[in-house]
Amino acid sequence: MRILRYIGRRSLFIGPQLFGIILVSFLLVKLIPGDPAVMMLGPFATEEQLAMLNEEMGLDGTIIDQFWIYLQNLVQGDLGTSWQTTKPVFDDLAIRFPATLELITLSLLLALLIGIPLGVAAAYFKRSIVKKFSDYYGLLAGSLPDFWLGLILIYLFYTIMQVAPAPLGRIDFAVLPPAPVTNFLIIDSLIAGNWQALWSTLGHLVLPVVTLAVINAGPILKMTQATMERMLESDLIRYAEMCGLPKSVVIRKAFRNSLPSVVTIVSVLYGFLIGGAVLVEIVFSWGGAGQYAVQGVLNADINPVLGFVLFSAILSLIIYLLVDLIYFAIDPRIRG
Amino acid sequence: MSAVLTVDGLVKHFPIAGSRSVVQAVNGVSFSVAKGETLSLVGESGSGKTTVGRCVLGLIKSTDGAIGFHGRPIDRRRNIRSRELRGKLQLVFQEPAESLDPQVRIGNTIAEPLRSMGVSRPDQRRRVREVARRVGLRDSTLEQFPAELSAGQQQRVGIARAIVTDPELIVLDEPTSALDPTARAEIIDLLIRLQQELETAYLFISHDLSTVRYLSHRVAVMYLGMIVELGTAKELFSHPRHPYSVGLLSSVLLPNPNLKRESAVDLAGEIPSPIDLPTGCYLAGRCPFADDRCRSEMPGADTVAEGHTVNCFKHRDALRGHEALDYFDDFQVEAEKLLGAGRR
Repeated sequence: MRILRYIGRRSLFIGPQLFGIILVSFLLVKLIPGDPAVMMLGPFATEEQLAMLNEEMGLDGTIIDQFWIYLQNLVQGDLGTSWQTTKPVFDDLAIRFPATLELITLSLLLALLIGIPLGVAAAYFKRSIVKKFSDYYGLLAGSLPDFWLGLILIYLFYTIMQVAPAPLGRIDFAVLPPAPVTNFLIIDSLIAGNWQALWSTLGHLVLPVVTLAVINAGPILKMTQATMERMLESDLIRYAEMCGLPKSVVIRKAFRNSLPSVVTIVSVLYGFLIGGAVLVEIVFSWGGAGQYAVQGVLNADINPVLGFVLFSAILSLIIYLLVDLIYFAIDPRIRG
Repeated sequence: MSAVLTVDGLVKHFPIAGSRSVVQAVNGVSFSVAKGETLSLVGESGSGKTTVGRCVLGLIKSTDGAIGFHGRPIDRRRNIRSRELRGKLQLVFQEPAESLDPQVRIGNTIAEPLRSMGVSRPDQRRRVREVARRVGLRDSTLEQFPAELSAGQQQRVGIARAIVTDPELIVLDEPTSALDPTARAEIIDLLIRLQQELETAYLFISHDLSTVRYLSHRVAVMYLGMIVELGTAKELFSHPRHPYSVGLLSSVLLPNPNLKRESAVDLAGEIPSPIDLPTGCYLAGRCPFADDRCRSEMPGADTVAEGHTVNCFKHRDALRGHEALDYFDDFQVEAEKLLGAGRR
């Protein structure tokens, strides 16, 4: 009951939050220097041609007018057109967002598999080699740039050992992609029963996923370790230990009480990676959402940028709502 | 009365990382606690009273000295965790909220110590309900989570969890200092009543002197890891002999403006560092009675009355200046007033 009321109350804020995000990002994007008309028509365009194109695109009005037009289109589900791809932004993002989501979801899952066990072990065995290892790991993961690691992995596994596929997208050119349903290639291949495509997709995912996971396991490891260390020192765990409860029970108890902060760091990483994976996307020619947005920024192509911001915002709100639901499930103090 | 707990010459030094010197947290402490008796350790923060409590439970390894439970040693190998002593020694923490697992229902929290003692589930449940009633928790509370309880109720849970195993000794590590006055009074009453019913020995660690006065049979005053004065609560509060005890007692603000709180013992200055302690009496630098002997020689325990020992060369001087003040009665009256507030 409480939870339904909570979700209802949260949903009330989604509208205003989104409006605020659109407004701010619209104004910020408009501040970026660069005239799209000049970009589109090239250096030999005449003044009249430029003016005409500006008028056509609605760029001759004030910023308020432009924002109003954008909002009106948005309400009808029209995010505008990208002049670079000449396609509606919505259609572009419908392909590119799943590409990014597929990548970062798998990466974070793998990062969790690396970070949590290491963090727990490092916290419990304080004077062990595991602790030393995880200290260095945390330091390295925090200081290595992800794209650099991606390049190294490509060099090792593609160039030298030739076990990984070429870093050129999400699937082999020679393989027929499955019919797009969700645009998540794994899911679509499964729906279509296209095993060849599934195999190729998974193969292409390995290196970028490992790259992102190895880097992002760092903060997860650190957070798990720090929280667990604090937990293991706490009175409640000390008492459980004194009662003579088995080690595994004590560790599980401590971990359960550390879970909220692990969930928090994962949700933060998830939101961050939607745009933050862009360098890795570029290295692997992934064609993801971040890459799309960056190209938009570089070429004064506003609509893709705004569309990306809007999509990311909605996704972040969904993630935070999910996280709140997870808190509800794991923490009786909130459940009440 | 046979002693449940005996501590003899307990020493605990903590090494300092990257240094050869040590923190001398406890420097030769000896006392005993009998069945059904409350011995209180009082002193300022850093006087080593909590460390003594931890050593007694075998949670930290003592540097030297012997701790005995019914005459048999407690140490790193044989302690609160070992099967043999499981449930015989218990601990109640200062912060009830932090010592209870927020994820676990109260009933299961109280049952926790029983889980590793081979008690069957139905027996656990029966026992939990029994002690819950005993400490004044409703049956419905057992289904709740710690966050739904007030601090006072949480501490009742902490106490229920401690007595569920029918222990012979409970170390109470400042169990009331995180509570508001009403809850404190209720918890103190509960502790006294439980002790009368169960004949449990309490090692009560506190700096709250009015509480100490109210529930202790005997009191040990600690200063820099040493017991400087040990005696019955009545003796010690009415005729404190050690200058430090006098200073400590007169420093307590009783909420009664009519009481005179004058004292000839004005302890100036700071506590010396427990890393390099002075030779001679540790209080010499702050004590108005100190002479050359105090500064060069460590005073031993001097028995001034039956069961009342003082580690001071000058305790006669300290007493002389103070005979007029009878702290005991002041405390008695004020403590009754204060702590009686919560009684139904």
